[in-house]
Amino acid sequence: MRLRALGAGVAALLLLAGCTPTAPAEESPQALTSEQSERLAVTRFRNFDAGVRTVDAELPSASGDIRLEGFFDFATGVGYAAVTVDDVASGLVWWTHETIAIRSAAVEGLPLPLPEDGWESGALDPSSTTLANSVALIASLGSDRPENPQLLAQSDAAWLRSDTVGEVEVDVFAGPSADSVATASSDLSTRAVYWVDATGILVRFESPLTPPPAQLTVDFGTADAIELPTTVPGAP
Amino acid sequence: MRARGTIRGHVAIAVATVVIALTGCTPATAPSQTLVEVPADVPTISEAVELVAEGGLILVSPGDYKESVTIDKPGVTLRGTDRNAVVIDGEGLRANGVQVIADGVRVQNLTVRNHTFNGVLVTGLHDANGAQAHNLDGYEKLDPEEFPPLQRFEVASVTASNNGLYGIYAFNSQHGVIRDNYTSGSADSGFYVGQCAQCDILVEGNIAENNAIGYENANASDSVVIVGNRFTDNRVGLTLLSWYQEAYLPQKAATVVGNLIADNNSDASPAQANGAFGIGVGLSGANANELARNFIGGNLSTGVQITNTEDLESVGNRLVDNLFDDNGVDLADLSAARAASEDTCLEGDVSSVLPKGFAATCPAPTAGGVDASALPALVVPPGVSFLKVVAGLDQPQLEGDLDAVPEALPAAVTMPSLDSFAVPDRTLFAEWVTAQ
Repeated sequence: MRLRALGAGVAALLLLAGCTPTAPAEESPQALTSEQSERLAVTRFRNFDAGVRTVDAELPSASGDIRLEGFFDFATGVGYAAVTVDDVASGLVWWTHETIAIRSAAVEGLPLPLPEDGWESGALDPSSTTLANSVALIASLGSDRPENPQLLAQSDAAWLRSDTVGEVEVDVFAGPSADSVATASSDLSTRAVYWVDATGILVRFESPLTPPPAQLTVDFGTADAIELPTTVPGAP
Repeated sequence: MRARGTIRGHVAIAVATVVIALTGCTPATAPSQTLVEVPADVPTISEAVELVAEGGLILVSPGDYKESVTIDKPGVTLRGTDRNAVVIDGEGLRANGVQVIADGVRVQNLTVRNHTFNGVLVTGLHDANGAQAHNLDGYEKLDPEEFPPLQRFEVASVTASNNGLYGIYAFNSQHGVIRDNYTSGSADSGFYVGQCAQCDILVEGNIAENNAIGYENANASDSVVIVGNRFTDNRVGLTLLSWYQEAYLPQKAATVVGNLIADNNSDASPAQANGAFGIGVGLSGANANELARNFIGGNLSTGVQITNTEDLESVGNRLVDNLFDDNGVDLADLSAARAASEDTCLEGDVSSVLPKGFAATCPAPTAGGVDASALPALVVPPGVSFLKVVAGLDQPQLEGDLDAVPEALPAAVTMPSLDSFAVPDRTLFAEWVTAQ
């Protein structure tokens, strides 16, 4: 019976952030226009509305450059990707908001249905590993309703620059640093950054990870209608 | 059945479209056009708001209007010439379709769709940043001295579809009429009346389907009259509730008569924020409301649920001669022991109540409710994106002389006779809904 939970607004854009500088020095952030705040407010909803999107994520780590190539279904909250480390096939990862399952045996491509054996699953703890942090961040980029554009406009979220990703023209935004009104001392280097097209579609996402200097970069794309399994073989 | 869609109180004289030249007494910049036609006079509705005189009429011809309209001029009427073909479209990007922040405004006979927040928002709470209501994280409880409630409004024969929060939303406003509207695909509720005391608001002849909630009423009290509506095939039909995030606690004394509140088990709607599903009426921290001669049926979980809002109990609600038909449970008290319901009065037949024996006498003695696990176990279907909820049918036009500038809205709403509302059946407005 209760209304939409308060606090889900800007807080939802406050993605986990470390302390690593990421922003090029020449950027000159500007306060959001009302049009820009409305567009940024729908990016996570647009992912939910789209359902399945392709995911191509890079996350440098101490053990090598990790790459995830696969899908996330923002309607059902399930992701599935092939993992490579320094360009060597290293296995599969499947995850939800609560659970992560890893299959370490190298396979060709991204098999569907899922392989029947070899999965190790457990609760998804974003603070446990760079990989867990990254897949949790990807999962957090969907919401079944838009955020509050007025509140975003009053935050320190900022327009950074125009850009293109592939052939798509985008605006690049820094997300808000805190659930409060704008302050002059906001440090852009600790913020998540969103590449957003004219319709609010999130094309690229970048975020500092913990521990530094790891940084996640994800490219999202249009996916064919596929169905990702909502359970993983052998999981409790 | 009463005819739907009639212009109330219009003047019978035709209005000259020629602007009358005014002499020296009036500043040259003062808008003086009593009728502004869109797009004949100006291409956008927002420009028409600037041009129209106080108390004037903006008449909009068919088209897709991709703009967010703020009406900040008293007494203005915004009217479409064709309810189904005059469309204010938020394209899934803009927050609100029409924001009313001036007294005495009417919005009539048009469609508002695809907004990320509200289709039509009427609110006395606004500042330099524009109209506001609740759901701002920085929101503080309304100070009625600083933001006096908006006075006199009407939203009539409006279709509000696929909006991300509420379809038609009256907040911090008094003396209003919400009549003959249709809402679907709202991610929160189709209709919402919130935060007013001595509201004097009439909600009549509306339809809500395929919304998370059909009609929601938070901290709106004393004289909210909800009659002859169809709230069907949502996830929850109607709620009356107290809510700590808004002023004027607790909610009390709404009148709910002659409504069809049925089959609120929609799997073609957005999810309700807390996962509610299959509920006809929810009363939460609600007081002294009267629900009479409603048809409450086919709700898979519960016909009427009574519960508390934190420490606020539900007290003195009267359920009189409602027709309960084939609900999971007709009447259930879910109140926590620390805020047990009091003095519920049930008159008329029910086939099932929880806890057993609840409301067997009138008024019912203080009792603890059952746990929600005592209700029928249901599999809640996943929510649909509010932009993807199926479009509704074309709706009936506002009747009357659409070119006529209406008289000013009266200071108080003329409420209908409650005696004229008998228990409806499922045929009420059935020809205007998609879900059968």
